[in-house]
Amino acid sequence: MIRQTVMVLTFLVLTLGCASMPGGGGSGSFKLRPFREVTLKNGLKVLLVEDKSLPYFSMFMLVAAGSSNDGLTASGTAFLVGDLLDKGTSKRSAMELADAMGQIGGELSVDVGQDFTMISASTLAEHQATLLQNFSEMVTEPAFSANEVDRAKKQVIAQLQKTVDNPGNFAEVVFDSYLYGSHPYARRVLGRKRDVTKLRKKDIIKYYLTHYRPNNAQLAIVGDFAPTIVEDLETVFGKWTSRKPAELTFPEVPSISGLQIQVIDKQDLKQTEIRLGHPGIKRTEPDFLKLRVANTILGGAFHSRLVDEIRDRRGLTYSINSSFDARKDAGPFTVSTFTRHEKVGETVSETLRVMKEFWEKGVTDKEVADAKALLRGMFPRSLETAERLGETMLILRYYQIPDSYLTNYLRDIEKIKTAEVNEAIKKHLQPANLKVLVFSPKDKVLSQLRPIGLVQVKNYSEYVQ
Amino acid sequence: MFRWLSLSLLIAVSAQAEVSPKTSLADQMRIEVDKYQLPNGLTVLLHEDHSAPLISIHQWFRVGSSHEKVGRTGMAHFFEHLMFKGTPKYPKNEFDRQIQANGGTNNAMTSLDYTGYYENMPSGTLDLILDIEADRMRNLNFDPTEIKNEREVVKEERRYRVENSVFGYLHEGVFETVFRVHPYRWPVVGYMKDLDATSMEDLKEFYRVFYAPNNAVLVITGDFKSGATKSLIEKHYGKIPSQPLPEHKFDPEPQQKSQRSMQLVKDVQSPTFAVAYQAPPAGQDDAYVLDLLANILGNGSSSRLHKQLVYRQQVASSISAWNYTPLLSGVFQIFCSVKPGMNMESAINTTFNEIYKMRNRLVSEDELKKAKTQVMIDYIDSLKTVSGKARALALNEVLFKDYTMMFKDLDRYNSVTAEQIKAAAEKYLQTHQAAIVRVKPQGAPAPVKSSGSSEGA
Repeated sequence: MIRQTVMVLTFLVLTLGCASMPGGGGSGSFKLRPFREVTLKNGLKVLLVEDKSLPYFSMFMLVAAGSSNDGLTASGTAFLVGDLLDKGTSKRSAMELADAMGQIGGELSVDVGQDFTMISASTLAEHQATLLQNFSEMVTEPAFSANEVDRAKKQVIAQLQKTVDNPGNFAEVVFDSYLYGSHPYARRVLGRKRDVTKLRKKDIIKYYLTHYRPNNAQLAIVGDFAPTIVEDLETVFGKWTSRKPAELTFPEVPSISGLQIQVIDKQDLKQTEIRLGHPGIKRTEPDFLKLRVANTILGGAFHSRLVDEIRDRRGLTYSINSSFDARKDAGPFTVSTFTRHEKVGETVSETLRVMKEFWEKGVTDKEVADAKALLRGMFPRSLETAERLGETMLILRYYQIPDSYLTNYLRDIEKIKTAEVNEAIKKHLQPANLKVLVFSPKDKVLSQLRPIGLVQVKNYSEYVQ
Repeated sequence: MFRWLSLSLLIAVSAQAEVSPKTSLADQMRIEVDKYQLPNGLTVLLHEDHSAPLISIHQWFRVGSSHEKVGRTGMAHFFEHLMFKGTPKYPKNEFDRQIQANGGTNNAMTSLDYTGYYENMPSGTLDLILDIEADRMRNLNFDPTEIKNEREVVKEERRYRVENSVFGYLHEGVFETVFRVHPYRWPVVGYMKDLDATSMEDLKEFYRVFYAPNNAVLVITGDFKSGATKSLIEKHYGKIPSQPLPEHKFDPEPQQKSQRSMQLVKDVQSPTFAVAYQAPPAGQDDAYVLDLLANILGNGSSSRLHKQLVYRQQVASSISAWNYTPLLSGVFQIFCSVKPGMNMESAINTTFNEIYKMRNRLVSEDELKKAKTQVMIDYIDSLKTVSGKARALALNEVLFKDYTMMFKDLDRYNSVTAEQIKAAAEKYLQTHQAAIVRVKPQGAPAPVKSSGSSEGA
């Protein structure tokens, strides 16, 4: 009975907390498991991470384009392109592909993000030739038939409409648009309904032809692969051709002055979802690791200032956490939590108080030492499997972070001093200039929020159309 | 067919003896485990794996929500939260701080049958963790302020998981509808009024009765030396006395005679429903058969229900089927999210049609093979990390008192035939055995009453 663990984790088992972070080791340089890099003739860069410990074969492909590359009034294009990859190729129909992938154990997973798209699939080692064939066919020869485009659009529109049924997810999406205004990070990856409705087959094909190119992608092959893997890759990806990639320039990230609160009203909610924060940092930010230490102390770990105060000392929530989502452009710094309606005022004001004190007084040597130990201790787990290493390296390369980020991680974390953490906090956190999103029945929370800051009220139905 | 397994696993498992090509899959998937028992009844499982400088420590107790009493539901889980509130030796903050300052993370989980605590640590930290775990098995603090705050935390958890979640509501509804007598009928998180009613005395008594070494399984996997570890285990746990355990008495669930249903009207965009059936408990042959049946019916885009409801009819945005198998009784369940504005009853009818086909026709060899391959990939995935291995060992030892059950899984799945799948569908998935739970958007038309819904809750 091993499958139960998978189900149990997702459905039936209640865990103590929600705080989660990527996964000790000595000091000095961290030794990565062996990997090999090759570039195929068409320019596709390939990372090979061999792992014969179990009989599996996995593929990860990062395409260097995501929803930020959608046209201004064509949000949702990147998502539809990703969604349609396994819905028919020049050779096979959607159902034939579903069967072909199912037969070898799974399906194509396509995760479209703001910055990039990650396509992955896994099978037993004995089926690797079939997976290589299926995967390359879907990535390089998608059909984008009119029927399938129509079907996918309807599916996305249904998803958009029902997002509000999941309050946490809805709050997250609305918070992004609240923070980022007209910047691409404001737009949902799924798109806006009015844009998706208008999207045509040719818009989808244009996006695909612009961005899905071997010189704009990277591939990682992980597991128990054949010695002929490079030749096999040349064969299946050989016809895929390069093209000069499109440059993406971001507009300026909007700044926030003062404390702004937006209440999204929905009467039947049984609990209030709260998000607060401001635009944060780019992945290339030199203070990245210092902020990692800082965030671990603030709300990035189970024992942290926000969890201790809001959850443990005050019993206001089951989960509160803070994070810097570092992206190509400045991604959001967000604190996420939820509480009962009658405690929304206290939860928001106490969270702000903790952040303000954190910003004003900084952190202690002991907190820094503990946070560093935690980050260092968890690091080997974040690369424990060959798959995690392969996927992590694709993402680092996308952001042009050298491998020394990994090999020097333990040493670089160790070198960080309390004063540097405090400087980074002062520079990158802005507890006085931020936005608060509250998803709640408005009558139950407005009087609690008005003393805290300027409150604007909207109805959820604006986001459902 | 699976000869490659022996070859590749040989390289993985350093302590593994040479495997002859003729041994069963069970033997090929086996990982080396040292199992023994302390005189006080604590069961210990050790598996060394030096591929990364990590260890995973799991301490699970054979107590879950099914051991609770009516009126005190949610106690196993509430108590699990208190296990993080410290002892005289490791006060609350010190406990969490020590684990984090040693580079580790910890958490716990409560289910119907068990409560599991675990730490994922860098190697070299076992002395500390075993001291902490042995200490909190006996010397927990019961501070009234901590209990008062944690009660609110747990109530927030209930609001988050159930009251403010369509999926959580459906899930709770399924168990309340499938079971009427059995203790699986109430939710692990418990009901609000019971959480309010649970007193410190109740919690202390729960701790005294169930948190004993002879009710626990300790699993350690990863980068450690068994010899030294055994001495540490003896040092920290040796002096804890064993104690008599209560007999787990409960009324079995009678067979369901007619279809049941339950419904909630909510301000939602998307109608959702679940169809569920009583199923055999973990470890029985039919549980394996139903796992594969569920896979064929509703796992992924090549499954029958996905093809019908999501792809062809375009009525649903998602559907999934799985067979949940806790210790005492299983639940076979299908969850479907219908697209806004689409007809839920027609999606339910399609679902029943597909189940009808399962009862009346054999699945194809390709479908069966596909299901077996998918199950095997899940199996392999769960063993990729030291914490995954520890979890699998703990689960099997806690449920069956025999961790080697997990090594037999693949053989048992592989031996399933199309005839067995049809027979299981006929035995467990009859229309009168179904429970239907619906979440309807406000203002949507009422469902057509099906015959036999008189028993509906």
